[in-house]
Amino acid sequence: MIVRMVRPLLLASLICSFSTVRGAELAPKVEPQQGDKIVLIGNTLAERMQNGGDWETLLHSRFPQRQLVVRDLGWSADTITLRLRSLNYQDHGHTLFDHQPDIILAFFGANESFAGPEGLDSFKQDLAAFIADVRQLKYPIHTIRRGGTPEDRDGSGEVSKTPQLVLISPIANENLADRGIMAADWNNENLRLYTEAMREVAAVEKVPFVDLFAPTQVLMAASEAPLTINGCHLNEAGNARLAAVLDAGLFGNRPQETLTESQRDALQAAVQEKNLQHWYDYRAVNGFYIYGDRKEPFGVVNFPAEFAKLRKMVANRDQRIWALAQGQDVPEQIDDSNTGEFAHIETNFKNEIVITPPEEAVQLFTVRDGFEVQLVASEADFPDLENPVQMAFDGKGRLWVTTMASYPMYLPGTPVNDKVLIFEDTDGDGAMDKQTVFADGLHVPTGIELGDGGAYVSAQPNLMFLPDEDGDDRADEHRLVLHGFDTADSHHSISAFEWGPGGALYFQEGTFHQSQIETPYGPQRLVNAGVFRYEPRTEKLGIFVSYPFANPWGHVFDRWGQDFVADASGGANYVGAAFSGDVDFPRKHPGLKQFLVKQWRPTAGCEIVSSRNFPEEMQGDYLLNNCIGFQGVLQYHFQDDGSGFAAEPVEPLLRSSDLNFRPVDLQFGPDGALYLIDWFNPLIGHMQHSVRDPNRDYSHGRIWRIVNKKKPLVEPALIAGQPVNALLGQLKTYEDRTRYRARRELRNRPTDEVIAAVDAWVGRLKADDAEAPHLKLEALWVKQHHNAVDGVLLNELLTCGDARVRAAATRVLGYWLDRIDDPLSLLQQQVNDEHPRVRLEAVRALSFFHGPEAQAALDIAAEALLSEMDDYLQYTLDETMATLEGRLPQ
Amino acid sequence: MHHCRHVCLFQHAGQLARMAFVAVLFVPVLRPPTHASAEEPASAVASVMRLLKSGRVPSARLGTVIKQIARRGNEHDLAYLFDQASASLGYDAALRLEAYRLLVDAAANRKVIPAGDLSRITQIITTGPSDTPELRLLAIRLAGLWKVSSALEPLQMILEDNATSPQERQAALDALTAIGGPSARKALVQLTRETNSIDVRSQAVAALANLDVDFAAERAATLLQELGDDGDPTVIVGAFLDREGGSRKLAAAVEKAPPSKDMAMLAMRHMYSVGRSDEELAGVLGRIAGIDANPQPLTKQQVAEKIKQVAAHGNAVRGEDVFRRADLSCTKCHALSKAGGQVGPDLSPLGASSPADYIINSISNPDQQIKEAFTTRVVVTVDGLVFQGIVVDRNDERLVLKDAKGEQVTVPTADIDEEVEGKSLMPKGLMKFMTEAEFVDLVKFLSMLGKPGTDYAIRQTPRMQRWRVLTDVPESLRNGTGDEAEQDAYLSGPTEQAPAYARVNGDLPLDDLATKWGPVLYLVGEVDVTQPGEIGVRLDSAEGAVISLGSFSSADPEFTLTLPRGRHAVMLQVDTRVRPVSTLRLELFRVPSSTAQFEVVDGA
Repeated sequence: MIVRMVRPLLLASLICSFSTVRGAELAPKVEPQQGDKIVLIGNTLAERMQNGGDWETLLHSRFPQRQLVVRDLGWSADTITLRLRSLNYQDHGHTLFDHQPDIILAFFGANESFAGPEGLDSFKQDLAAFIADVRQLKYPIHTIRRGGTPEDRDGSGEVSKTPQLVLISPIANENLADRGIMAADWNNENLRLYTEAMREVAAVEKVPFVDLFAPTQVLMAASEAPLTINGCHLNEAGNARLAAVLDAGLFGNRPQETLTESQRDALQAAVQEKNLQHWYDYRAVNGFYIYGDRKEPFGVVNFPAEFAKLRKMVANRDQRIWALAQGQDVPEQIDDSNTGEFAHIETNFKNEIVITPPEEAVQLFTVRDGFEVQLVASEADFPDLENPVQMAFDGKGRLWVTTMASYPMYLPGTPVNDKVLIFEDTDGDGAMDKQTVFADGLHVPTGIELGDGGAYVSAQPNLMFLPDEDGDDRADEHRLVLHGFDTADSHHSISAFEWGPGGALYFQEGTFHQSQIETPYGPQRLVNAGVFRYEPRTEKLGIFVSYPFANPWGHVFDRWGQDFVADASGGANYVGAAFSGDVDFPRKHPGLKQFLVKQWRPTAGCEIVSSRNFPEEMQGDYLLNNCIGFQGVLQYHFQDDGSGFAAEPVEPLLRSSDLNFRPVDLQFGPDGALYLIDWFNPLIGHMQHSVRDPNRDYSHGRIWRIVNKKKPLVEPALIAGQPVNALLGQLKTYEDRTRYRARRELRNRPTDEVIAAVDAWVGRLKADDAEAPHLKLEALWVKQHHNAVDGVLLNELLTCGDARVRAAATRVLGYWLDRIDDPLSLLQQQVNDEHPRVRLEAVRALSFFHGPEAQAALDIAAEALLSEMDDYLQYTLDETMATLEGRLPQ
Repeated sequence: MHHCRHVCLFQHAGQLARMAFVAVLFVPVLRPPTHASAEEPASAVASVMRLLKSGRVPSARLGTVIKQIARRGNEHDLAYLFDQASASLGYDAALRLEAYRLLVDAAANRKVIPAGDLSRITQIITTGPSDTPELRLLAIRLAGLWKVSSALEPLQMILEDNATSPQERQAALDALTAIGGPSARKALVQLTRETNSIDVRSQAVAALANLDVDFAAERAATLLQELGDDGDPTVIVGAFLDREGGSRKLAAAVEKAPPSKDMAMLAMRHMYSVGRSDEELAGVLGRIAGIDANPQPLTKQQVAEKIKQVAAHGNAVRGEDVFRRADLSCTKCHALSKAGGQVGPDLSPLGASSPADYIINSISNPDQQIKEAFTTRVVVTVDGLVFQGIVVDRNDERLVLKDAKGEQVTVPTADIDEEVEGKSLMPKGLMKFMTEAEFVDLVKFLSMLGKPGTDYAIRQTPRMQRWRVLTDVPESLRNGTGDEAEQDAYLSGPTEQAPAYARVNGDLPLDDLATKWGPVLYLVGEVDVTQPGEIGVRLDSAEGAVISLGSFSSADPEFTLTLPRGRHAVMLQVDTRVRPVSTLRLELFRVPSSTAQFEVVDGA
């Protein structure tokens, strides 16, 4: 889903900034002809241009009579040699052969530049080959199948006309010093080198070239406010300025504007609407069911008519753009009556469908002795609660939930309207009585987490941030912050959002997916499933776990920062520490043993019992949802298994005999009760039915809570708006989720204030306080949230008396390797620790060394063999050795 | 078809590495690469070798360290290990054995063999101490894996010796085959002669298929004829299925010298049960067995017609019987309420979640829709061996597949010649073994699975679903004439068992078991206790049944007892002749106020 904020272009400032970089008269480099089709290819720079449509608006207003067709095929992290796509994407209708463009604007060089000066020669060679290929319309995509090797595929057909290719350089990067992102310092020299290389090759190959690097560097230097969201991708203001630079760079000095400001706004809105419908086509979710291996037997029935219709809708929008560019009036509504009909789809779900009313459904639960299931919210009282997926609690104790009525995907012509809802229990009776729509117009938002003054939500194939700076409980804007998470299967897309204790946001994706994400540190790629780790403050995005999961959907951290990952489809559960060491793409970690014996598949969501409302003997137990078969919450009791864990089944917490009950998320609320999100749907299979099966349910959803009647509920902690010191006090609270929410609140307070308060708080802890090691660990995590490295506290915890704390501190060290003195010596100490879990964390952390330090890291990792080994340690050691070995000089 | 070629991703990987950790550039003190030494050949375990030679490794850790070396080291590292293991003043007996095992794994799974002279292994086969048969067995395997030709003669002697154990015989056959050449072939041909037992001849033909597939196929056809109506063709048929093009050769030979109708059926069933339906062999065997080997996929209209028939005539009770039939092998791969095979998905919730057309298509054409966890790969090795299975794991060095028997096979990546996406492991010819009515009943049964309030609902209580029936019970106990002392004597030793699965509703049908194993049955179920405490046991009817749990024994239908943590066997001695019903159902239940946590043990 692309978000289009229709904002008036600030024409005056635009022209002004443009003139600052103009210099001499600019000659046109390319001259579009009547009816020409202009196709944009390249990286995120190109991809993000379609959102605001600034440049295209300038284009149509410059050539109002020429009826130009623009198709933006930009794709996150595409390079001249590598473009990951889901299987058989080349059959979907968006190869260059399919488009037969007259003009191709190729935006490359940004991702390539991370190869540095030593990569320049091969870049130039590759670029020359790329130019020759593209002139022949060859622009293959790359897919790595599950368990397979990379394959490249392309469309085919006549080259009826040789397109006019224009090479476009990367933009400059800028420093965002307050977030520690020094992207200009890190990258601009390389970007300049690659820009010059492109200029050189373009001249030799006689291809027009537009330099965006130099003018954007000037613009960035001159601008007081940042022009990027992350140092390397333009924000709204940046894109508006870029539009003018690119317009002039391509077509020369701009003629007299013919449109009024309101006419331009209408044109820009029409461009955005056209781009949105085109986006639904070229970035369609569920590609595996449209053109991939699961197009049979259902997709071949419904999709051809759907995409035929969508493409006609896009063509209608081209016409509307031309009319508006010519200053004509257009009707308010777009007439799509000429776009054809959908195929008739019959259900193959013959079971009797009985929608159980909430008051009956509550009777169908079987719970462990002493517990009670209570209805918190349902579609009966809140009709917007349609297909709820993931929840989060805010600092005011309110429950946020994403809804997914558009699942499995957009139907052409019917605008999507998935939502983020906030539920509130204003009278404290345990049932929600107030609903606020925080955001709507979303498309299959499979995950949500709160933080940084807003909400992070998946917006396949992007990650979206919904800020609420004015605190009116309504998202200020829909800001796309990361791009390129594949959506070959909309129920495998980024989901199960969870903060790590140190302030990284984790989310997961399933198999088939071919993801590539650009960051100011370079592109990151992942194929066929894994877990991402994202630091919003620094914009670091890493592949936390690259593992051939089927479809992971569940991730939880315990009191000591150990994490557990649940794979939904196969029902497997893993110890996170063991398989989250670094690997170099495309290598994936091999099979890791599961810490529990699977009882029921598929699962959706996991949680650890940490609530004084729950009985003593259940504390620390692992809870796992099952949504087909058992339909309830399974429960397991942890014990140590060497450096890892093993969990054994105990009596399940609950199950329902209502076949519609589909628990898909679970989390302890501020009151210590366990909350359950119930997707509530009679028909649940993604691949077993047509995506358009008429019996898919779009209008139900439930939220339940499970309360232990034998103990009181927990008094909810005060978090929102509390003073920093009070929040630090909350870090002493028993419940994991309360400390989780207190840390999340603290991350959004001014760093200086928080760090000073943390230091004073740590200073006040008594040495003989049994809780002191854990509290100091909490302090370390708060600092990690703020990217505030503290070598002294870290050193203390690396050697403290509690092995669990030493292990957690070793994990933190692994993310501070670049800013701690002599990290190898510290890890050597940890590798020889008396506790296997600390040794495992050290071996894991050693996998992150590169270059000249890889050999030393390898030698230190081998020292793990001097102590007792176990399955987990052996696995992690093998993996670290394999990674480091690959980085030794050949 | 699309043109496919490999693209070089690794140049990008290098970029990625740099970019992801640009931060590394800011480390204040860069360490010089202190440890690498120019003379050493590139080795993944150079660090470990240095550690080993440094003298810092305590003897208790030596096993772990050599394991690491054997699992990742190169031919020079392995040569060091081999030297240490075969030197008289080298490793002690236990470590020596471990080193040999590791060398076997390195050769079998990674194709890495020690550098230097390997003929020393022959001496261990011939002169190795006879009190360490395991060492000798490992040496035999190594001789084959390393292709040590000086071992040919001692291997032949082992094969000719009638006192050779079956395990050692198989190892020697494998080794001989691996070494190959005219003398190996000659030795194998000798073993196929009629003077040897049918088992030895089957093994020899299977081995010969690797050296001379045409000759082996002829001999195999003759042997299949000799097997009569009820011999075991699995070793022979399996060997040809495992070779690229092997089943075609066997089909041609069988065409010329056909086995009995029943033997053709058994051979065909084996082929299906390992997830294969090779066209030629299925065709020939099908003709001999009188089964249509070439069913057309169902059309949409046929599927719609079948759905109607299922609704009108399908009988789930009969359908469950079809599902449980041995010749269809459903339970070998699929579990119900977790009891049964673990190769394909557990079908317990199938009817509640999957529509009838999906079920029909999944039986008639298992390849059409495969859940991502069950997609397979087919690999052909450079030696022409074929492996098919679900990918359990893979890395640069080896691929691990789970085959249709639920067994894991490791294939070294270096051995893989060809690899393609496989189809479902589920046999494609299942519908051939069913009448129209049986198929309709089966689909009805499957559509009912998981429907609450029926006999096909998912198990809600801790109920025994997977039993094991003891299959080697002495005659006197089987017919109920034996006494307690005989029973104690029998049960105190190792027993042989076969799985017996309850129906979905928990009823274990006894009639078939009694027919096969005798009127008095010994049945074992298992329960895992994770938190000790009091647990209740309830049998539907105690008539003719005695329950034992450890030293506790009861003839009551319901009782409670306190169990410690751990796995416990619940044994039932059932005299089916005095039992009023032909089924049996055992429930465990939670005792109020008990803190016990337990789970019945399921699985294959």
